Formats: sequence, C-alpha cells, structure tokens
Amino acid sequence: MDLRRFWHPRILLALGAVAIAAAIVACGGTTTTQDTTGDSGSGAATGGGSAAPQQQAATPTLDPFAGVVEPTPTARLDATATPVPVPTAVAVDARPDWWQEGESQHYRGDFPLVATSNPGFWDVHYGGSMNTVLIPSGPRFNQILEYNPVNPNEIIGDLAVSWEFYEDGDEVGYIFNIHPDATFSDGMPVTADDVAFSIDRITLGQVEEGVLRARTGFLNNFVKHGTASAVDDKTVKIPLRFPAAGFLPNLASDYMKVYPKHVAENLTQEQANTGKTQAEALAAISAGTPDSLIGSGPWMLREWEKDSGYSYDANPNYFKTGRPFFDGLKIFLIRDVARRLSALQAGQVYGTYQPVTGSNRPEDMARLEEDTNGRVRAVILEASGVQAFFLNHTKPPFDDPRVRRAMYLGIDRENAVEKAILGFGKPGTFFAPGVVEDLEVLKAENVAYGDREAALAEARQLLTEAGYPDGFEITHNVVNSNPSLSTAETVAPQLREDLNIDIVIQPTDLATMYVGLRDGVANFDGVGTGIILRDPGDIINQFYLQDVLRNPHNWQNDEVDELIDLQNREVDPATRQGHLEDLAAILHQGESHWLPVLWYSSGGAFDCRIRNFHYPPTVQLVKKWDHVWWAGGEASACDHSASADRGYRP
Amino acid sequence: MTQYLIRRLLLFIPTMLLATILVFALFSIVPGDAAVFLLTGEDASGTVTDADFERLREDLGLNRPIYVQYADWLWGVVRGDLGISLYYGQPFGFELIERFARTFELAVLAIVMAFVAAVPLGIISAMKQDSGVDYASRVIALVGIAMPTFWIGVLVIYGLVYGTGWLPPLEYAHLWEDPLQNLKLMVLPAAVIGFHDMAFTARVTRSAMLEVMREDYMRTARSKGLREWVVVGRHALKNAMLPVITVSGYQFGRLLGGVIIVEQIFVVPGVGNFLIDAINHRDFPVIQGVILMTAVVVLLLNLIIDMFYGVLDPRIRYS
Amino acid sequence: MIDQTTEQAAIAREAMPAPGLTARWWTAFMRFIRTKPLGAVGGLIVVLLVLVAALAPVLSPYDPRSTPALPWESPNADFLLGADYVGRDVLSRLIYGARISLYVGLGSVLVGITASFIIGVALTYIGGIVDMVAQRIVDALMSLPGLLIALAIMAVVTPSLNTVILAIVIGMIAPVIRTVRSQVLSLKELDYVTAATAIGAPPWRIIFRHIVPNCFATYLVLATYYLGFAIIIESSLSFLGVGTPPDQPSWGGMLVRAASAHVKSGPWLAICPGLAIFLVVMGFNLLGDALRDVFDPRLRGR
Repeated sequence: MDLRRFWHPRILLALGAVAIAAAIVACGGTTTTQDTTGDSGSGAATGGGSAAPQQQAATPTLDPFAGVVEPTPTARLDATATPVPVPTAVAVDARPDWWQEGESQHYRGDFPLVATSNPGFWDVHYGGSMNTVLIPSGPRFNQILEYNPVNPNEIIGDLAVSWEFYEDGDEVGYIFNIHPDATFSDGMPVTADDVAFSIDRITLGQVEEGVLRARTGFLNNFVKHGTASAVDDKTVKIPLRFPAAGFLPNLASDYMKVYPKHVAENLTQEQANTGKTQAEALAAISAGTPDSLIGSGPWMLREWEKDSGYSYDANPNYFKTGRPFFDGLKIFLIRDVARRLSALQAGQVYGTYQPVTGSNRPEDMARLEEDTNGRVRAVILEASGVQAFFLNHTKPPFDDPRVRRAMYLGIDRENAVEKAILGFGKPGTFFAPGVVEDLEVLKAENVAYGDREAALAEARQLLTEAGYPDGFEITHNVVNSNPSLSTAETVAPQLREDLNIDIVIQPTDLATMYVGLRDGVANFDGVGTGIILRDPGDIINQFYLQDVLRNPHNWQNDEVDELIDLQNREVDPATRQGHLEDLAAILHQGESHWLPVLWYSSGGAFDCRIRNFHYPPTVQLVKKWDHVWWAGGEASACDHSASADRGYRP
Repeated sequence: MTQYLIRRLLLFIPTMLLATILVFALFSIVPGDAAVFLLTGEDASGTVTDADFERLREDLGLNRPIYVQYADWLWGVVRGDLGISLYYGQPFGFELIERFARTFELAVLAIVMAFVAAVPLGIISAMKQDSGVDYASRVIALVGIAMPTFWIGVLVIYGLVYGTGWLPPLEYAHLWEDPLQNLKLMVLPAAVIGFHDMAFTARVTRSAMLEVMREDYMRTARSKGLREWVVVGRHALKNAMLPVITVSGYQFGRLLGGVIIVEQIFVVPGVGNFLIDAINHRDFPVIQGVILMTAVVVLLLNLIIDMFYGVLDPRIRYS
Repeated sequence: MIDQTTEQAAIAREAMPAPGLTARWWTAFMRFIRTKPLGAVGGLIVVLLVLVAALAPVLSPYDPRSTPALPWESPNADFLLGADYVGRDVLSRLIYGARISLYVGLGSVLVGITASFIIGVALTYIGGIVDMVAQRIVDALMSLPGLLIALAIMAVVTPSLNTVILAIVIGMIAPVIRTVRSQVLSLKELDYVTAATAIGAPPWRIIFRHIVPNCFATYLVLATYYLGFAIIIESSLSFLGVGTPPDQPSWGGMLVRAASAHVKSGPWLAICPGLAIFLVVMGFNLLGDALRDVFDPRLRGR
C-alpha cells in the first residue's frame, strides 16, 4: 500500500476527518497517560475520533508467539465511541520488560531473513517502495515515533523521549524532545537540527527538482515545508497546518526516518579528512558503500551484493543499549518461490516477512508450518488488500450501467475466496471487511452476496435488456502475480458458465498495467490494492477521487461525491458511519467503475525460536528488527499450542 | 591468417551494432520505463501525477527520440562508457564484467560436466550402433533435453531438502576467496545445465565417431590386427574429439539462456539475474550492456574456437 | 550384427523395382520400424500426442478451464489426477494441454522452419548486399541466446499462444537460416544443378526440382528437433512469467504454477505435466535422431 496518494488535497480533508487522536500514545508497561485538549472546534480539518478506535479494533493481529491468538473479529465502526482528542504531552518509558529478556538472550551470530528483491535506494527518503527502501534501509535509521513492536496499535517514542501538543496563537503543532544519548554511527549526536532537517527533506515534495519522495511526500499535507525548527539542541518544534489527528500515526511510519544532516551536507569529520567531495559522498551513498551509510538505527550496513543479499552489523553505540539482540542481520534475496520455501524449510533462513501480493501466499506458509511440525510458523495478516475488477465505464460493454451491475451480480465471491485464495480472505466488499458493510447483513439482504440463483436471474435479465442476451467476449488485463491471476482464473469460468461472458485472460507485467491504467486505455483490469489504514477514507481516496490510479476513467457520481464530502467533514463517528453506510448502499447497486472480488490475507513465516515478533498493523511497519531474539534450543520445545487455531485450513 | 583474423574482427562491429539496435528497438516499444519503478516502487501503485513522470523522464533522458538515445548510448560505448543504470543510478561496467566472470565459470563447469557425461555415452552408442546399448545410451543422453531446466532445478532443490536436508549455500563466495563455498554453490546449477546440454554433446560425439570409423585409416588400423579398443582409443577418438570440442565451445551462447533460469533457482548472482533485474526495472542501459557483452563474448569465443580448429586441423584454410 | 544384415536386406529390397507407391511407402515404413526401433517409439509417442489432441473433447472429463474441484484436491474417483491450485481437473488439462503443445510446437516449426527455408533459399539466390546484411542480422541474432530474444519479445507483446509462437520463432530462426543457407550453397555446387543452370533452367525450376526435394530431409529432421525445443522454450517462458496465459492448459504453465507453490500442495501437479513434456520432447527427439540416421547416408551402419 502506498502512502503517496495522500498528497491530494481531498485526502487531506479525509485525513483530517480521520481524527485520530487515537494516536494513542502509551508506552511499554508504565504508561504515562496524556492530558488531552479537545480540538474539535477547528472545522472540517478536525474529524471526530472515529478512526482510532476503529483502527485498533479492526486490525486483526495474529501473534503465533504469544499463546493461542484467534484473529480479532473485525469490529464494525463503533458508533458509540466518543471523539478522542489530540494528545498533548507524553513521556516515554525507558525499558519495558521484554528488553531485559532479549538482552539476556543475545545471539552471537546473524539473524537470517529472506527477501525477494534488490534494494533500490540506500537513501531512505528517496522514492521506491517497501522492497526497495524500507526493508533495506529501515534497519539503519530511527523515526521520531514508532509503532510499538510488541503492541501494534500503540505509538511510542523512537528518537523522541517525550512530546507535547502546543497552541501558540494561530499556530499549532508538536514539540519533541530527542533522546539525549541518541548518536549516529559516526559518533555525531542526533540533534534537533537533524530532525528538523529530515522533516524538511521529507516535505520537500516530488515536484522539487531531482527529488523523489514517493513514500514520504504526503507528510506535506500536515507540515508546511521549511517550518520545522530546532528550539535547542535536543528539542524540535514541528508546526502543523491544522490540528491534524492523522499527523502522529503517519509520523510513526517507518518511512519517516531521521537522516543525518551532516552526511547530507557532507560535513562528517571523516569525509572532511579524506577530502571527498559532496558528489563523491552522495555517490557512495547511492552505491551502498557501507562506510558512507550513516544512521542512528540498530544496524549498520556490512555488505551488499546485488542479487545475493545484504547484511548488517549491530550498531555498538546504539542508544537503546543492549539492542538489537543479534550480532548481525542478514537478508538473502531469493526470487524463486520454490527456493525460498525450501530455504525456510531447511532452516537456511529464520524468517520471511514480506507479505506483498504474490510473494508469500498464506497457504504456502501454512503448509510450511505443517510440513515442519511447527518449527516454521506461519504468520498471517487477515484481509490486507482487496482484489478488484476495474471496468471502463466509457466504452462498451461497460458503458451501460446494467452491464456493470450484471457483472457485480455475476461474481460468486464466496467461491472466489474458496478457490483463488484457499479461504485465506473474505468476500469482496467495498470497504475493508466489517468496517462499513456487515457481511451477514449483505448475505441476507443483497442477492449478489446471498441468493446466487436470484442474482444470476437478474444478471441475465439485465444483460438481455442491455442488448447482450448471448453474453459477450472481453479481454481481461491482469497483473501477472497472485492473487490477481488466481482470482481471474476463478471468476472467468464462473462468468463464462453462468452468464456466457467469455473472459480472455491477458497477464500483464506491472509497468505495462500501470501505463495502461494511467493512460486509461484498458477496458477491464484485475488489480490488487493494499491498504494502510482500515479507515474507509483510505479506500475512498484511492478509488473515488478524480485522476487517481484506481479511478482511471474518472467515474463520478454526484450522490457519491456528496456523501464523501459529508463524511469527510463529519466529526461525530455515528453520523459519519451513517453517511458511509449510505455511500456503501449506493456502491452496492454495483454500477460504479470497480467491483471488489475478495479481500486477501498476506503471509510470512518465522522459525518458532524467534521470539517477540508481533504482527504490526500493516506489513509496512516495524521494520527495524531490534526487538526480536533467538530463544535457541530445540524446535520441538516450542509451544505448539500457540499455533493450534490460526484460522486456516491445513 | 592475420588477414582472416582482421576480417573476422571487423565483422564483429556490424554484428554487435545490429544486436544492440535490435534490442534497443525492441525495448523502446515496451510499455513503461524505469521512471515507473522509480516513482511507484515495485508494486506500481499510488497516485503519481503526469508532471512527476515527465520531469523524471526528462531527468533520465527517456523522453528523447529513440534514435537520439541510441546514438547517445553508442557514443558513450565508443568512449568506453556503458552509461549509468537508470534504476540504481550507478555505473555498472565493472559489475557487469564480474557477473560475466561468474556466469562464465558456471558455463564452463556445465560444459565440462556435459562433456564428461556425454562423450562416453556417444562413443558407446557409436561403437555399438543400433544395438540395445546404443538405444539405452541415446535415451539416457536425451533425458536432460526433454525436461525443462527449471523443472530439473526445482526437483533437485526439493530432492535435497526432503532427501538430505542439505541445500547449496545462499551466500555467494568468490572462487579465489573461498573455492569450496563457491563450488558448493556452483556445482548443482552447472550440473542442471550440463544435464540439459548432454544430449547435444552426445549426439555430436556419436555422429563424429560414426563418421571417423568409416574412414580408410580405421579400416587400415583394423586390418593391421589392432585390437578394437586400441583402434577406437588411439585413432578414432583423437579425430572424433575435434568437432566435439569445438561444438562444446559454441554451446556457450546457447547456455546463457539456461543460465537465466538456473541462476534464479540456485541464487547465483551472475549475469542472468543481473539481466532479469534490469528487464524487470526497464533499465535500458543495463540491458544494452548485457546484450553487448554477451555478443562480444560469444563472438570472441567463436573466433577463438575457429582459430583453434584451424591450428588442430591443417585441412582448414582461412581465406 | 543382426541389425546390419536386416538393414542390408532392406536396402536390397528397396533396390528392387517398386511394385507401387503405397507398397513402397509401406515397405519403407516397415523397414524404418525394424531398423530404427527408437525412432519408431518416438513416432508412436508423436502419433499418440496427435490422437489425444484431436480427441481431447471426447477424452477429457471436464472443461479444462472450469473449476469443478477444490483447490489442490488429491487424486480420487472424480478427479483421477487430482485438481490444481484453483480446482481445475488436472487430467482434462493434461489432455487439452496436448493440443497446446502441438499447436505451439507445430506452429513455431511450420512458421519458423518454413520461413527459414524460404529466407535461406532466397538469400543464396539474391546474394549481394542483401545477403550480406541478412548474414549480419543472422550473426547478431545468433550471438544472443534464443531464450533471451524470446524473453525480450514477450516483454513487448501481450502474452497469448500466438505471440509465444512468434517469440519462439524469432528465437530459433537464425541458426536454421544459417544451416539452410549453407546446405543450399553446397547443393548449388552439385554437378547436376550446375548443369541445369548451364542449360539455362530458370531459378524457380532449379529450386523446386533440385533444391527443395534435396532439402526435404533436412527440413524434416530440423522440424522434429525444433518441435521439442519449442515445447521446452514455451515452458521456460512461463517460468519467466511471460508465457502462455495461465488459464490455457499449457503443460509448461501448469508445471510452473505447481513449482511456485509449496511442494506438498500438489506433488501430482508437479509430476504429471512434467512427465507429459518429457515424453513428448523425448518422442520428437528420438524420431528426429532416427530420421537423421535414415537420411544421412554417412551415418548408416558401418
């Protein structure tokens, strides 16, 4: 899932409405609760506190390492929740209990992981994606805040030891106090200057010359470029454009790293001594030359070999003393699925945690667990993305809303879940499962989800009315990976047999698909979409704004727009939920430009002796690897009851 | 001889130009370019504006006409500069040479293995032509060519996991630094390629042997009362091996195809993986570099083999 | 030595005046089976393949693209070879896969080898600068592995059976053109061809009366080899993610999809299509070997 769509002004509104304050802050064991001041007066920008409670409840965490964990039932948006205001001041607990335990288990060796593709960039703020930036560069830096690695829904300080919300006349924002011991791996202290510099770097925005801020630029929605400033050596002030509850949760994402100013500006002592020019220094950074990669994080790059892997040494001067709990971290790159699975099976690597579409399918992870008698444990994140069909509503046959509705009715979603993803998912709804729509209600009231015969009868009727009594043939462009392919392969025969719609499956690689979508030349596409927030705003922003990738032909409906606007500005969660339900009802007429087929789960796997891994809210978070340790001993000593019920079919 | 050599070398130039033009033209009509991946990451999602794209494409020089791009690239090559990887933003010349060295090692190992396994099979089937032994050895030699390389690779991997629990290492080691580790990694992929190529070598051996055994000097040798194995070993083999060796040499170009697949399965950071990565990212300069290098290596090898052949077989005249 | 005598006997029989066309073909056919049992086995496999492909709708119990079973269902009475990753009947897909293999194989061979022959023959007659340029293009193509060329082409075109054939054809055309060209050149040097030219026979007459019949053996041998080669390349393209669309029951595609899931998911799926490919490619190669032995007098028994 991709943060970049947040740059859009409309999203800004949506995020405002998301109103978080659930943000949440509590730390480790001894939580310092925050004082709160309500900020609900600031008009559209401030939403109610709708997102946070719902975000917490809706994130199912599967933690195989902590006793029997059943997937948290995805709760509906809690209509009774009161708005949670923006937190003001927080201090961070120094050392939770698990830190002690991890230290005592320190392993004198490397922690081997497997990933699927080369790092693209060693500068963590530069372009790219999870595979090319976050996995390789995440371990080398700290953020200001982070998601608590042991409690996924909590935001705690990373470099910050405390922070507070301030109001100064018209100006609002946050003041962060940076850890006094935090230093970069070249010995220079992490200062407020570095933090302010990093925020500026992040908010520079893509349009500036020569800068790619693909994953971070959206922070610009909250913070105006050039406004962050150092109050003193260890105190930094970040003014906001408006009291945005979405600011802290976004700031805690692993993309928001603090970058050493002196390296970016070539001021290190070493570089001054060696007489490197700035250009040389920057070239060394993008080449991944270990000595040039300076960060404050738990790991320092040891070596990088393209197409083979990269490895890190533990940072001996890491300010979180005693962490990480391994001497080194080693990430092997394996493109071939069979080789990847067998490396896990043979214990050549201890884990993979890269549940991107197509890389690690939950069913393979489950088989791995079964096949190794639980030594390798599957971790499965429920409903992490939606697999959907996109219909070009500007060209025949889909220019006729009746044909679009016939497609909506014709898809057997239960069957698709069963066959395309082996039950690791949920039937496709317009919003994340259980957030707006209730599947049970849909099954009872909507023929498309319940009475298949009735749905098909209506679909045939509609097709006849639209002038396609004998169906039609259409080419279907599908992203060349799973579950996109398997979904198409499952739904195509359904539609062929039931409605005589002959779908010619045309696998397409990502770049081609992307260009097709961007240029709006494709008629009928199958694309998967990951989500970061379970908030309906995420889906709305991705699918219903104009000129966005997931709305390639700019489908638009006045009623829908009005409801989107209403829910954006709504502060009261119950009222907002009402708007969203109205919106869903319109979408379930099945005449919009896309049809959700299924929500798919993502998978990863770890050796059962890797301890303290907890599934974070999304797959793009908690990538520093400074909290897990190796318990050692025999795999047979693992507590296998922990994986007794993981919700998958063996 | 010298004239011939010069003429062959001069012929390289149009051949290589054509090879690179073909590939350049081919990839110029592929939808999407490196800018897509730089901006949207490998999952190609998100809302990037057309302005972002155009700016980046301009920075990368991708919006120039294709012939300008090609001319620019060619001028760089003439000056000894292969250009900069669009995706990694790095020069890659040395890396390319290093990758080729690894793949070359893999190919040499594969050819040697194919040779060791196939030549005896070919000799046996030639000596016992149209007997059960002939049939058996021909079928054995054909097994490898009748199976897709990736299937053999995956079967080997799973066979090892479930049979022995041992797998070749994931970490590449240089041959001169840690030869044992290097061989552990290289032997299996080389064997897979060699197995696939065995059929070819065995077939050439068999026909070369059959041809040689019909020569007059063989009859003379036999009529002198020499024993069969002496006849075969001393006279036939020596003469039949020449075409076999040269044909094995020519195989290098063909092997590179199998290498693309095998390197992925056995995690060898060779030129095959390098190329796949470049194709995935639409990294044109790197693709071009690999194509150019492949063409140079294959053509040079062929030339060397031809010269070698000429030295060994005085009947060959270069004109 | 029995083989040798039977072959000599066969040759002797052939030398006798032929009683009739059918009988002559029948004799040649029987001799082929007797002297080249491996080739006969290969031929039998090929005939079986053709039969299965032709009778696919009759033989297969299910529509190869429908999903009647559960994903990865083990072999049972309803689904004799089990089901694949979305619940399609493996047996039906194997049977229909014969069509695809034959289509890809025959398609690329008919198009590729025929085109190579036409180009090769034409080049030797046109000669001059065209031949020179064509030679360089052939050199350029030959300096790159066929799979690499096919991969590049598949990146450009949308994947379908026909584009796979196109990619395979371009990948294999260069070496065939070269073989054909050199053969035609040597044929042109033969006495009776030179004689025909000398008495003023037009080129088309020479081509059809002398060159084409003499090339027929080469054509047949190359065709059988490249049939197997095309089937293997098709599966390799699937492995590289650019092959036949996944709902088409191609053996290579089936194998690739099985190989990219956990092996315990469906071992039968990783075995059956692989065996089918193995048998068919083996069959074509055995047939090709035998045909070559028959057509190349130098390789007949000593």
